[in-house]
Amino acid sequence: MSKYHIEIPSHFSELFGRLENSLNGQSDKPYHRLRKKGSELLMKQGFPSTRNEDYKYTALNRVFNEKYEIPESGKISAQGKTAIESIKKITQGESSLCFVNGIYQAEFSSLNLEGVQLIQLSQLEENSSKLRDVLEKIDETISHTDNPFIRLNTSLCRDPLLLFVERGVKIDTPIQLIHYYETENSSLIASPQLIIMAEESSEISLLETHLSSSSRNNTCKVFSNVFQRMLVGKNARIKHHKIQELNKEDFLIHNLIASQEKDSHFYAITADLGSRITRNNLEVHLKDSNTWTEMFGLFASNGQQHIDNQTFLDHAKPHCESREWYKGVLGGRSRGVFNGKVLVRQDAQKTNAFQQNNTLLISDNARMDSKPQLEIYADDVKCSHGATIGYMDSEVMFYLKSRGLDEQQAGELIKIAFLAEVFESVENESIRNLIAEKVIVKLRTIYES
Amino acid sequence: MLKIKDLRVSVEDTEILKGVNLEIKPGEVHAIMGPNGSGKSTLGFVLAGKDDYEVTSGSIEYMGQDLLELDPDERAREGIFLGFQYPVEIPGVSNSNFLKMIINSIRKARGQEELDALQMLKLLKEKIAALSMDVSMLKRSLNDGFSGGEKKRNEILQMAVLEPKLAVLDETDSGLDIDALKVVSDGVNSMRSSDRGFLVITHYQRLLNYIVPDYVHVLIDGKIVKSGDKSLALELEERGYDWIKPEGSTVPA
Repeated sequence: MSKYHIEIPSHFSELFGRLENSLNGQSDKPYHRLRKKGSELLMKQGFPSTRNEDYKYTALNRVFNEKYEIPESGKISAQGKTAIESIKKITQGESSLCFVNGIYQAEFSSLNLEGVQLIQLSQLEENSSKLRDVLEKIDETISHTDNPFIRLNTSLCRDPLLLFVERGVKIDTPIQLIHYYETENSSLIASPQLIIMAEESSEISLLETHLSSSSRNNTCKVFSNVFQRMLVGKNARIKHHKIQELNKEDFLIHNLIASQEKDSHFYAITADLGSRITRNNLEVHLKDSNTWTEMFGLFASNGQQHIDNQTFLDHAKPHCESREWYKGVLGGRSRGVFNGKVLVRQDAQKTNAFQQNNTLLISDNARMDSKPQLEIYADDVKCSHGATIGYMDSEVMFYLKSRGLDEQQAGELIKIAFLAEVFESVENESIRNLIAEKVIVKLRTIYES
Repeated sequence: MLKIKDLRVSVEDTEILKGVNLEIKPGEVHAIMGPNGSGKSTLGFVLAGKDDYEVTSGSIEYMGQDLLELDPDERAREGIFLGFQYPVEIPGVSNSNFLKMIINSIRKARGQEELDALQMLKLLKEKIAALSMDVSMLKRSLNDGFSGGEKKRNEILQMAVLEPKLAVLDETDSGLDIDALKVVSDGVNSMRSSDRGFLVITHYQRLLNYIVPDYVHVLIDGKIVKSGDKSLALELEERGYDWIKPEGSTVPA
């Protein structure tokens, strides 16, 4: 184990064995080999310490010290059902996949789209080529990743899923990924895993929400450790929207790796409003030329919240364009981290890459650490990056007040305007309004203290 | 409606206004002229209530109350309007939303009913047409990327919808070509009324051909050194400021 890692605590290493015992017939299925491998690799690697450059500003001791139970499937409270139904209404509930504590709930889900299939890997024939393809992708990822949380997720994932979009199928209505978490008397670790294969010239839009129930013994915490792998085929498009509103004691580590084929488009936006600690690990690999990548982020925090966005964009091929913009408003004693790396390899001539992080601090006790990184090995490229961290502009404040707006109205307008450029990137109007609405409600709670 | 008595104002320990006296009655248009750095803009900012301006002595009475006790937003709701020399650009705030917000917040403060979307649109369209502005500016972000002329028109538009009792216009003519100057002046003139006062701050006499003042005051080195009627402005245009300076006792010739 390197000096940048710490040993996996025993209450974590025991989890795999406990899951294995509860799997019944599932433990001789092909996927279980990956759980085992994930667990073994994780034990070897360990968890990252703050000596690790990518975790320098995000201490996860609070996450590691907690003792979690592995959630069982099939239980959901009446309150949970109501919450899920109300989230479904956002898109009329036509296409929604529901997860309770990270486990897929078929009876609350519906997906009736021609050319789109949701497949539980456990349901696939053991010798099917689809299963082989998916397992290969996951195997490759857990073998080569330096991200231990993907390994942790794989080792503890009860029901891995594949969302398959057939060639040429274009779906405009967003497919909802509803993550709901509830627990009464113990802390939980959720490990949902979803592989999305968007075949050539297909298009889908996703709306992922994370919400946790507030009625529980308040010493209990939810740790959701998500892994998503998205394969954007030739000339295909995936639009991924995420809104995170977890309880203020909960943890989210969201791991998303996307890879793009020729002429494809990948759009991602994350709006992080809740949780005690959130860490988004977003990686995009450009496998071929003429791709278009957009990565957007909004974060608004107060109290003791900590929101960390890590992004890695690998420009490996020529004529690719990318745009990355993360903006946040921090109040209270909250902390934000942005660590974005854009790598432009020698082959990636004519790359056009833009990266920006801007943060507005509302309180003297809030803190932002921003590290926009650009690593370029090609000579004919157009790349820019930058970061700003600042307080509210007193000239702007005075101008607004001189028109009769009071301190609160003016402050709200400034905060919303600051984030507007990011949520305006959302094409779908109802999703854009939803994000704007959630962000505005959150901003009203962000003050100096 | 406005009585300024022996007003002294410092910014970061430097005294800018050194004893200003001025009274404006309803219906009057006063012009303040003076060379650069004489304290003209400071007077505007102090009336609007900007933070960094410290009043060290003297008083400002507005509509029978102590103006200095009010915050900038309270002053605006009491009917004071400052047209900025350099209006602030605010990307992300749509001009139309901003106008709607300030109109209704002022109406609410005055005990008037808030306007609904339809009434609002009618009002805005009417005022925009009067200022020869393009309706498309409503969709843009507040002053963001506006030309100098567009910004000034936008200030006058805000004044027109807020209907202040006392309007202070700081160098509204700077950056305007002659056509824009006429439009903006017409906008101001159409608002002249027996119950509204104006304080027009300008460096050049040109503006006063269009907005004809009742009184002209010359501010030099933080003091009003000469007052007169509109002919004083013409005299200044011809002879410059130098000939007045000796009258101000503290100003070196």
